[in-house]
Amino acid sequence: MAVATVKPVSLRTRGERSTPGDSRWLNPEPSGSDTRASEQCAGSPSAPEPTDEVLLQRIAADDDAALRLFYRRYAGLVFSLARRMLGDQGRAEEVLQETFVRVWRAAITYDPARGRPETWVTTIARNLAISILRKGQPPAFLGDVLAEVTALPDDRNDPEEAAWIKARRRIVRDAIEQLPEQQRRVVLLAYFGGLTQAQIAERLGEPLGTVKSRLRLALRRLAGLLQPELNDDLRA
Amino acid sequence: MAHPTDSLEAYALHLLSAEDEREVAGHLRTCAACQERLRIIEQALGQLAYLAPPVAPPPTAEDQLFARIADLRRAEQRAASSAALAPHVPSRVEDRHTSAMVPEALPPTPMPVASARHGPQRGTPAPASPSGHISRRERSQAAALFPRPASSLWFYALSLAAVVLLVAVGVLAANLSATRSANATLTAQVRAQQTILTMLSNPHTTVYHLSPTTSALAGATGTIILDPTSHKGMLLARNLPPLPSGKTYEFWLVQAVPGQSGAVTLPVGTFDVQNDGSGELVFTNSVPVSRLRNAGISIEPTGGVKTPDTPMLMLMSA
Repeated sequence: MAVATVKPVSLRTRGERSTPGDSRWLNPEPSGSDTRASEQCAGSPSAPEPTDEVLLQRIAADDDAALRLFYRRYAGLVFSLARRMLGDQGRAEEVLQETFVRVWRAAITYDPARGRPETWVTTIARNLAISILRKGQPPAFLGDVLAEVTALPDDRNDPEEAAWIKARRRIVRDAIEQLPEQQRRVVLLAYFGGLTQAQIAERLGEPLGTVKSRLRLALRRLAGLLQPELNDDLRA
Repeated sequence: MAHPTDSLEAYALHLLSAEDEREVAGHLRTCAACQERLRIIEQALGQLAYLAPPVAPPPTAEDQLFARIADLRRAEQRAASSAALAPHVPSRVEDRHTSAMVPEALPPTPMPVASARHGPQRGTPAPASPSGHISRRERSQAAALFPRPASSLWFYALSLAAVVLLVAVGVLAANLSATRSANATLTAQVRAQQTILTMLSNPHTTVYHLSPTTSALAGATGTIILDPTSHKGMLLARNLPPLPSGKTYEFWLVQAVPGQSGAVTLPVGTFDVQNDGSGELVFTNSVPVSRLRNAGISIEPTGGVKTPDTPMLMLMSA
């Protein structure tokens, strides 16, 4: 990977936090060193891994090497999300490709004040998956989202997955496990199922008002639980 | 309106009805506090993606992505060089729709919410890189005056903006006594272009493509951009034959009827094409993406009709 060919870019990093970055999702680096450790000083001359924000600036300047790095950081997350929502390999691949085409096209419009790159890219992917879901037949595969999500696979089975992704997943899983089960179910059906509140009410056989208030409470709680993490440097 | 604090969660998830979504979006344009609340909710939601069971993408996907991007670049270069020979002019219809949508429908780009926690650099526009390379934004701005390849939608929007500006400047020079009204026109048109740019920058914006249903229109293309937040939409048609007088193109959206299996075809607006076959239509869209079943273009008598009398010549690509 042509990281070294990329010329130094603006070190206009936002100092309040850095973002997860690791290119090893697909291609484990030959080096045994923990790149996360070096990444946290992304502003220093020796920093090999630019932050997501810096990568997006470079993508906006048509830098393919930056797009490749960004892809390797987030392709796994995007693909897993699309695969989960659509239950179909082929359509998940379409969403994966389209998501990064949009990243390429729209990097110039990315505004750090409105959210982290990670949120931006997963929002693009989720919206694409939802538009596929809502155009076609309702997903019959949804099954018990709750059981599947809470019974996450053992991280040790995925040696290629970057450590920061595993760490992040643990944090999010810990947060979601703190919600009462009924709230958890509603938020997961809404997020992964792309179901409207009325559809969720129908599926769960509960009144619409109940579903609405559970969703509201669940997201409010999650925002509280996950917000402190946003400002933490996980790699510190 | 009162702060829609109870609806922001469902809004972030795209679960509100079209009407409610519009109301919340309207409030968000001017309420920094709710923008910040929404941002916090969206940040939490964005992290739920990590709960998807991890599946590695196919190893070939990366090469496929870059091959597609290379194709897109080539196509844009072709479009840019042909556009340089035959610059297109916004259609007459667009002016009509532009004036209709100016008053309240042109929110300033939502201002980032300043937050002491994040320091003053939050939300400041990206400065040019000190290393001297030119960002795509700068190149796009240059491209607006002298077309060069950029992302095709950006190219369309920016070249459109440039043409509108040049036309408006021409009006100013030609009719000094009307400077004041021309100035208002210029402002309105620039703001209209800003709407398009805002639309394109919204990650919720969806893009659809129309293909001809008849070989008589082979080569014709249509691109529809729908921004669910502002409820603005834009149709960009290319390579359509100019029509004889008395005829016009009419654009339709097909909306599913809730609770029924049927769908209803809604007239959106009429547009004419320039000699180079290009036409644009800016419209207000009330059809939520979840209910959009199709879109089409037909040829109708000037002024348009309420229900299509002739077959659709272009329909949404499968």
